[in-house]
Amino acid sequence: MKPAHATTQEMLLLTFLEESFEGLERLEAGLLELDAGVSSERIDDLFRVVHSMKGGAAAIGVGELVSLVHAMEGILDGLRRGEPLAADTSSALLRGVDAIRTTLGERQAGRVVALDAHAELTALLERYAARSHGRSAPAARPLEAPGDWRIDLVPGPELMRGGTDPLKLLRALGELGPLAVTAELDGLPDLDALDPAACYLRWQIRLAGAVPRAAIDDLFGWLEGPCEVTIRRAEPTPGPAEAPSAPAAAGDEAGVLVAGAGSTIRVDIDKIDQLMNMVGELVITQSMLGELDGDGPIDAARLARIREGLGQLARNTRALQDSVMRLRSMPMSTVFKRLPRLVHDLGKQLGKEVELEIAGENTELDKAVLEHLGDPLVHLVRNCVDHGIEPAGERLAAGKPRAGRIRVSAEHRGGDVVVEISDDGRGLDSERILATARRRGLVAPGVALDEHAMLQLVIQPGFSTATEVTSVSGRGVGMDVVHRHVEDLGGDVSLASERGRGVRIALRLPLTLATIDGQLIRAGAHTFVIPLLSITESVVIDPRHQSRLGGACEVYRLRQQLIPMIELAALLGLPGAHPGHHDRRMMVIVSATGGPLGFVVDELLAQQQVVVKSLETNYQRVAGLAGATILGDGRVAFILDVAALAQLARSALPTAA
Amino acid sequence: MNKAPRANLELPAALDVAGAPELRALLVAALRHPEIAIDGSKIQQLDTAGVQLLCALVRAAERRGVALRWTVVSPMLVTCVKLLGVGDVLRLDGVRQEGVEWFE
Amino acid sequence: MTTAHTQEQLLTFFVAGAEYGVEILRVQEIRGWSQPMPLPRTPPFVKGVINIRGDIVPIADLRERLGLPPGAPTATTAIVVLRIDHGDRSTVRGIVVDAMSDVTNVDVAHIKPPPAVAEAAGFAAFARGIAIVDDKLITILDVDRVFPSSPAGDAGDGALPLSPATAALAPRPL
Repeated sequence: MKPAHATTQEMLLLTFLEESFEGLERLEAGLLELDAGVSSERIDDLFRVVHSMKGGAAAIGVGELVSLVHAMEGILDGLRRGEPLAADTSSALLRGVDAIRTTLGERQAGRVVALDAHAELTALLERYAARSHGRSAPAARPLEAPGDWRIDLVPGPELMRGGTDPLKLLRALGELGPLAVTAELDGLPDLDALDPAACYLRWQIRLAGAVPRAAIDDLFGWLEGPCEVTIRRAEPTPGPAEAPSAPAAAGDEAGVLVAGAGSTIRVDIDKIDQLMNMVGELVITQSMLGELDGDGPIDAARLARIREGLGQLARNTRALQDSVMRLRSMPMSTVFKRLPRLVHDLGKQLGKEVELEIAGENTELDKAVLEHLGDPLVHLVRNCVDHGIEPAGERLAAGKPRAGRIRVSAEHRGGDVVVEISDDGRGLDSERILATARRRGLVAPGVALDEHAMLQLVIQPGFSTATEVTSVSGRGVGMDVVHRHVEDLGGDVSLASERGRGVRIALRLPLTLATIDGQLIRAGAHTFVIPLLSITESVVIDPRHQSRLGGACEVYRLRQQLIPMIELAALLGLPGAHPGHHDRRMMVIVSATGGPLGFVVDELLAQQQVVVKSLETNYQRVAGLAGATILGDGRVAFILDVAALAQLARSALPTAA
Repeated sequence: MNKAPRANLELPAALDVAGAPELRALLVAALRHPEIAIDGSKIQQLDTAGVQLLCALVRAAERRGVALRWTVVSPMLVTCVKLLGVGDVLRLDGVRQEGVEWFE
Repeated sequence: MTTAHTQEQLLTFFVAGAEYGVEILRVQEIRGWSQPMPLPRTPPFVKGVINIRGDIVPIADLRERLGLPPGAPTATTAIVVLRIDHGDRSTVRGIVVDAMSDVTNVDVAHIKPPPAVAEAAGFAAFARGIAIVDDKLITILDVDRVFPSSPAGDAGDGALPLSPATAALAPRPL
């Protein structure tokens, strides 16, 4: 939240912070790929990120970053000019990313870290940069407090002839911070008399802002040709406080900038376009209704049109409402993006080789739910690397590939989002779990538990504090916390493990708001929505391919497959089924555990994106339904839970209504 | 002194140290007129040498009583003038801008 | 149970010729009749769900809840939309009534517990009391018990189907 009267400086800082965080993400992703080899365009991109971050930091007055970023820029500059990448360089750069993030985070909270907070890292990076440039590392310089600089630049007359252009120098200086330049032209002879290629001007420059001396020295260190440069500290200019950490004398408003990372949201431009379309339709409806207002009697015809208009209005409003709510949904990638770095660092730290596979990062989820998913997910993946994946040697001995594999996926399944984390590591050791549980008094001695019950133990609060168990106990944050997080979101957790083969954890999150692409169908008097993802194909029923198996079950011969035919209304126990009248009807074939199923429908209606409304909000979960949606005409249509229906169909004979 | 009417000086695209001698000749020739209208909109390349020459032109015009008027300038020129701190000499405030913004 | 007020304000309505009332503070709105979309595998008095400004609201038929045979909707049939409390959660649910009656103030002292016959008639479970107002007998309903209490969880075999590989590993999810 910005203070009521945010100054320009504060707004600039906020923008800078936002852009920098984004830039850091790109930088990090790029650095992680560096080891694997990366195109020169990519390196250029990374260089530009750092370069503009440096300029921005200097311009805005985030001086505590400038040296660090400058050093990183130096390394990237070398890389983009073809220098080879040393092994320790990329990890140093990653440390730099972390340091920048921390510093920016402090700024967000209204604090400024000390200039020397990252001195060691900066020195290290500078050494690497110097190494690649073939220069000897500069001797450690004493740090100076930031302040204004007064620079006198007196070029020798041969400077420009030698190829150095003071204009470029001043431009570079300007990137370090705000400049005030005064030129002295006393030495300039008459136009007729002067030597056009000689330099007669001199300059007095005032460089405001928290620019470290080192940065200025670097700039003039490249100067070729005789030149007198004097750099002195000047008195700070009086004026409005530059840093947000200005004394509170300025009043309440000067104080803390809390950008609040969660208060902004990036939105797909398509969603905005959709929104605009809907507003447009709303405007049309409104003007239509406006026209109906006027003199003259309200006769039946006019009344009918008013009614129609109101109905239209209701539809528009509903669509608008849905559209706005959809703005809040964001892709899983926002949560997943932390994982590659985590796996990379942790793997290196523990000496394990781990590959991470991510699927379904485009699966969308309401922003609020997404935010709560981050920590549990990180915890679970950390556990996989920490406890699940074995060291390379152990894996090879077990006949497994050298590198461990962790797979994280997210998908819409019947109106829920299911996030799965699985690894191919050693799996949970149920004996030790049982032993620990016994020791903790969670299980009475002598009581044996089946596999399933064992796994549920792991989720008990207090279980995870055991230190010797190789199972999913984390660093003081246990599975029970994950479970609680997920439960708070209205979901549940399930766990499966096979000794020596791996662990699979599924987090199911029922969605209060999600959209899915669905196929609307009519079955008798009912309209249902079948999630498109579940549909394999739709066919017109050819009665010749129908058969009855065992007297009760209808099957359809499609190519080489026998597909059970399901009457939806009958299966769901709803009135109005038409069993047996299969003429000219259609069958929607869905994929489910155990094979395909065919839902017999009367008509295929529209394919559209529908907003999933939970039945649990006001009622409770109903088996076979994944939720409901509201159609354009205001009617409720149920979204089918294909997986559950498949189970229902297989466990019970389809009954005739 | 050439008593011909006003000179229309169209500055070339490049005003840099390489072309400085030719530029100086151009400027000197222009100073033979009582009035100079300068069109700086074509300027795309500029360095200190070029700006320095323009400063010298302004100074010389003052000394000789030649009326100098900027009709149009490129934004690049304006920026460079600011950067080099010679805005007191080359007074470009309020002059219409047209043309190249910045190099690179 | 003590109440700070000496009077209760009730919204009353008719079902099958008898008058019933609910605490007015629990009434979210009153709507005309609209055909609910039937829900599968629910008790017969749960007629289905309707859409109220984007929310999915389940509707119960009070007649059937009272054990009476169902009746066809008429011009006066209405849906009373109630706010139901379940401990830490609240839901919005509606009941179908034959006709709306009035808003009445009732002296708390005049509310008597439901007679034994209510037990026999089967609605003791959700009748809070009986009030006599101007010679009329009003059965006051306990809003939170009109819909039989069921945790917001599985209504049936709603087990989480896991992906095939998981199903192969796990005996049964939580």
